[in-house]
Parts: sequence; C-alpha cells; structure tokens
Amino acid sequence: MIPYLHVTTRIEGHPYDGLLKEKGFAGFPSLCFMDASGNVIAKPGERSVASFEKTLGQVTEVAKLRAEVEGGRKELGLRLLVAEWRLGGMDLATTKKRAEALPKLGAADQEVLDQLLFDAEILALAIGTEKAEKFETAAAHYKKVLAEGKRMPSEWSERPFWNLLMRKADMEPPDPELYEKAVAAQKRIHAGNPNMAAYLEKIEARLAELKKQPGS
Amino acid sequence: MIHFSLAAALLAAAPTTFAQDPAPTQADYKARYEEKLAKPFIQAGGWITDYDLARERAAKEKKFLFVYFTRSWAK
Repeated sequence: MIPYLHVTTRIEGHPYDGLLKEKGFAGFPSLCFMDASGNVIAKPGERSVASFEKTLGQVTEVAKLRAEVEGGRKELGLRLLVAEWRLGGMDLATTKKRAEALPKLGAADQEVLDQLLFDAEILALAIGTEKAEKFETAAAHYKKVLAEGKRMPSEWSERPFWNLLMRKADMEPPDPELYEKAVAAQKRIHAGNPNMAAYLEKIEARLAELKKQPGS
Repeated sequence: MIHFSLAAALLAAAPTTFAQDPAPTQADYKARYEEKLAKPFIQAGGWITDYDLARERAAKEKKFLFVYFTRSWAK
C-alpha cells in the first residue's frame, strides 16, 4: 500500500487541489483506497479502526487477485470480480460487463455469479429511492422477489432490501404481513448487536400497532 | 434609559464582538500549507504528498494507494 496524503490548500495553481471533490468526497478527513490510475476502489464504511481493517483486508485481497489474474490465472477472474464488487464501488452495468467477460464457469461458480448479479441488481435499485418514483419501482421489484421466493438477497444486499420493504409496508395502505417479515429479517440481521436493540424494540412495537389496526 | 444604555453598549461592542478575521491571502494559504506539512504525523508517517509520484510508485510496485484527504486552508 502506498500512503498518499492529499492536502486541499486553496493555493492558486496548486496541483490537484480539487481532488477531494473530483473523487466524490465532501468532508475532512476522508479516507479511501485508489488504484494506480486514481480510481477510487474502496472507502472504509465507518470511521473506525475495525472498519478500516476490514476494508484493508478486502483491498489487499483484491490487489493479490488482480496480480494473479494479470499474471495469467484467468480462472481467478470470478473471485476477483466478487472481491472487487464487495468493495462497493462497482455499478450494475460494469458488474454485468465484467461478468460477461468471464470464461465459461462450472455450476458452482455460475451460482456464485448469479447471486452476485442478483445482489447487484437489488443494490442498484436502492439507489435514488428518496425519490418516490424510484422507491416504488424498487418496492415493486423487491416484493416480486419475495413473492417468487426463488432467490433472496445475500448479506451483501439484504439491508437495503428489507429497509425499503419495511418502509413500504408502513405506508398507506399498511401491510402488517410484509412488515412482520421485515421485522423478522431485521432481528436476524442485527442479532447480538446491542446498538440496534432500541431500534428492534421500536419496530416490534410498531408491528404490534399495525396488527391492531382494523382489517389486519 | 436603562434599555437605551444597554442597546448603545451592545452596538458599541458589536464591531469587536462580531468582527470577522480578514479573508486569508494567498500568502496565508501558502504558510498554512507549509505548517501542515511540518506536522509530526505527516513527517513521521512516510506520506507521499505528490499525487503523480504516488500513482507512479503504485504502478511500479503494483500496489494500491491508501489516500488520506486533509486540508491546510482552515486554521
């Protein structure tokens, strides 16, 4: 890892003074990992040592796999794609393009890829859902996924999936059954996390209220 | 009268109470940058502060960059 310190100076003509904004950051300090071309490949999720170490481990794995694939080990292409995607910066179009470029896969690897593409779509739909139209599109897709029950989001996409469905279930007209499924998922996702205990209590109380409403 | 005196006192104090520092000049920004680079955490951390050089080294050594964004313009 090459440690690079960028200082925003406001000195006229100072090289790359606008790099922070150019790379999509807004505040100080900000941390990230970049490749040699200057592409941001990962940002630590939280400002904590644990989060940094987790991201560092993922980035180190990607660096190792990239070197091996570039060295001719094409069979590691899927593992590299999965590792890079899990860093969080890859959009759906790029993910699909990278998937198409992979050599023919065996059944087990194809399953890994199918789950990855499924998760990538779930996450892509969650982007921009503060706007009503996008929210409804995502909610409709997620409800369809749930109804079909063929494939479910993995740990890499289940949080936005259930968060959005929970919000949808609490809108007019409320859907206590869907809300209950979302509560069960949230309890499983956050099991053993004391920071989420109050939140879980709150949503359970809300579920009880929804169930008491006429017609439920 | 008391109210009037109080208001007058507040008005008199206002320019000093609410006065802002003059806008920094380019010389100020340059001085602050030098001051920042001299800080022990930067001096002792092995940080590269030249973006081109950092990317060049990353390419040559087939490594990634760990990037820390900070600022020197604010006091």
